[in-house]
Amino acid sequence: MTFEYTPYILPLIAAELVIVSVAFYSWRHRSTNGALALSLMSISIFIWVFGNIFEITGVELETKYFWGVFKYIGVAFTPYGWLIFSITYSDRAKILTRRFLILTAVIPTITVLLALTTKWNRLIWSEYHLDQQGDYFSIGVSYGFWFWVHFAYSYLLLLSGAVLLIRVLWRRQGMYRWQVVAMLIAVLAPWIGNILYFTGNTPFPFLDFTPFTFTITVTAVAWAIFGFRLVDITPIARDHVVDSMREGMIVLDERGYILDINSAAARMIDVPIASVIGKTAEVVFRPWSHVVERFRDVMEAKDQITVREGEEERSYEVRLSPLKSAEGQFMGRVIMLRAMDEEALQQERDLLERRVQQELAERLHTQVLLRESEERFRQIVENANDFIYRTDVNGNFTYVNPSTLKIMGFASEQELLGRHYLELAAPEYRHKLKRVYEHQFLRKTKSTYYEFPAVTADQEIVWLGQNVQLILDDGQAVGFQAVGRDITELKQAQEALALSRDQALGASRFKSQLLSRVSHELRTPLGGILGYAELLQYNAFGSLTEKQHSIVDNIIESTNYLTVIVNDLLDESQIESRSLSLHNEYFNPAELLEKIRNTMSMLANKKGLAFHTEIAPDLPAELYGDMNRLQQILINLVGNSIKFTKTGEVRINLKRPAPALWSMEVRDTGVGIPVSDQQNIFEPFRQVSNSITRENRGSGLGLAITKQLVELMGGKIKVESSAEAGSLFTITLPITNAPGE
Amino acid sequence: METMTKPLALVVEDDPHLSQIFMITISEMFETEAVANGTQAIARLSETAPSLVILDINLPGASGMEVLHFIRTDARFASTRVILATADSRKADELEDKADIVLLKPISITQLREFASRLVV
Repeated sequence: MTFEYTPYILPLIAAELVIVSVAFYSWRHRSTNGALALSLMSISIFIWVFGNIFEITGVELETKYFWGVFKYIGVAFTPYGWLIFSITYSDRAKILTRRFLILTAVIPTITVLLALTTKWNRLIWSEYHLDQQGDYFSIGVSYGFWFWVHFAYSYLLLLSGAVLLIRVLWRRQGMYRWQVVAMLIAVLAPWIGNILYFTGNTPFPFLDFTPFTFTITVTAVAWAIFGFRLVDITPIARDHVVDSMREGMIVLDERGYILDINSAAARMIDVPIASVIGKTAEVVFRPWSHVVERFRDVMEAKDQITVREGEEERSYEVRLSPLKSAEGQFMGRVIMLRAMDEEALQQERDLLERRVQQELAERLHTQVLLRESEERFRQIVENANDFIYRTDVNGNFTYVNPSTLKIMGFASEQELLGRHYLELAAPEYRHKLKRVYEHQFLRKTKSTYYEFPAVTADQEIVWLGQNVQLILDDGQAVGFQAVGRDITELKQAQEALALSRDQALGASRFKSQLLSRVSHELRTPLGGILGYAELLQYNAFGSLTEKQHSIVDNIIESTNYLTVIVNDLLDESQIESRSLSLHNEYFNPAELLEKIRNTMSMLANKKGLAFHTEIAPDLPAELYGDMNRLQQILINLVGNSIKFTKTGEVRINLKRPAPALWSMEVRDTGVGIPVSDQQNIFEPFRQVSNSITRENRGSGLGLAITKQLVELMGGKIKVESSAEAGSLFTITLPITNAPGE
Repeated sequence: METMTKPLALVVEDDPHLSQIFMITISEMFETEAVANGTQAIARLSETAPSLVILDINLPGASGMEVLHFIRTDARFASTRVILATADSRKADELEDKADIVLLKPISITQLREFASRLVV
């Protein structure tokens, strides 16, 4: 690549310098509305001009070609930057979504790509060659298809931007005249340049004039938006209303510079408008320095200020509110000032007075209510029968009610306040008590109940039951509050009750054990008596006289009677102590009757009584139950029947009165039981009056045991009888199966 | 010579009266011997291998149950018959399977004689 100097590049270099400064400046002030877009646009133009310079100074065709193509990076994106700037400046930044930015950049991007490869695709330049203009060679090109797409698109963007900006200029009446002019120059420059170029009215027909026009544009824009501080924020409407208001209005930017002030405000502060705009509030408000100080960093406020002016004191109402951009960015503050004349002040004072009065009345009322409710609670607490006290976190009394003093035997609260609660507890309980309440404190348990003995002032023991609540303040435990009562009597009653219950239980247990033991122990000597007597009867110790035989019989009979009593006592004691259990298994009811027949028929026959047994056909062949105990029941009943029947028969019937029930009936033709006695024959030691003879005496427990056994089996026993008409005992039992079947 | 043919019965009973009554009752059928506690019973059993043992359950020394267990687990006593005597009616039910006969005290000597003769023919 070789380059040759030509004076044509001087204006271009000059343009580059201007553009670079605009780019830098606007980049540094990119927070200003539109500045960032302006900076990007400047960079595009810089690339464009940069390429242009080397294209012009390049000697060979290929050098010119290279830089001529390079400049398209700038050419394609300059209108794009312009559009973005116009949109931003006209406060329409909201439409600049990522999607919008990408879509509008599609055509410029394609243009750049095609340009860089146009040697091959020929869509931008279909052909290029060296053109001689006097002693200067320029590159001559024929444009390809895409160049015209790019061309049309570029002008579309330029036009859109121009329309947007002109509408803004039209709308914003608060702008200064020269600012409008600058923006108009910026908008129109590219168009005028183009018109001149296309009509051939340029000094250098072969030199593209567009970069220069854009240089003018960015410079004008920079001038418009940076030239005056006013444009740091979007210009505020400033019409007759503002200026003719009675209220003073001052606009400050975010750094505290005065951007605007209306006539009323200027009058109030006594400054000429022209001299304060662009100065800081501190400088302008010097006489009001304390006011400035007060509101320096305040964004929003409403207050009243008083300013001394010579001898005079004047009051103003000040309102401060923030100014925000369309994007919500903080841009400054508006201060509104309202002079308070005597009337307004009086009104304000009256209002204030009324408010204070109202407030006071309300507070007074609240206080009265509070005092009343406090008094109510105090009375409840003071008159309560329950003791109520409070302690601090350490457990030292901070309050005790009269009941506490009474129960604990103290005369005045001074004797208790400040003392530790554990001092009152019975010494052997202190450790436990301490643990209980430490636990409550650590766990922050809201409420606990505990009973413990305490020692009164007179060294007497009282039992206390107390609810203790943790007093929480903001989640922190600050003490305990206890409510409770003297439960000494209750405790004593409980203890007495527990003692008598234990005694009763013990006595009952003892009785059962005693009975059991006695009946066991009696069997061995009984065995001795019975055995020796029987041996005597068998003449084992030599033959006996008739008289001796009869005496031995008496011994045997008495012993047998005693044996029955011992057996019954044992059963009774076992049932009573609930230690008797049933040994249930499947049994054959016929077998049961057979056993009864074996034991009892001889006894019946001996008395000349008939003995019959019968089983109903619908009775199951197998029943589940304790056959030994059933046998015992039947022997008992049949034994009674035989005892009390002189003539006739004793009969056992097994039946099935209902599908789920079976029954044993024992019927006799004996003396019967008077109705008056039927009620209590099942009670222990009750025997039918006048029925006891030497032959039929029993333990008096037989029927009681029978009834208890039947009930243990889940059944019922009943008797039907009348005197001299015989008796019928019916035992009804459920038909059951072994568990698990 | 005739006495030699009688089988031996061991009466294990701590009450001397009952012990004597049992022995007299069966003396016509058995040669009898008595011990008063379980330990002696086991010692004597090993020496004599009796045909019948009348065994009280509630014994000092080794209990009647232990003696019973001893008899039932030793092949030497395979033919030994046992009549148990107990004062506890509840135990009587449970023991029925383990002994040949269980008699509830007070024992009728008529019964005892009958069962003894039936067991050892």
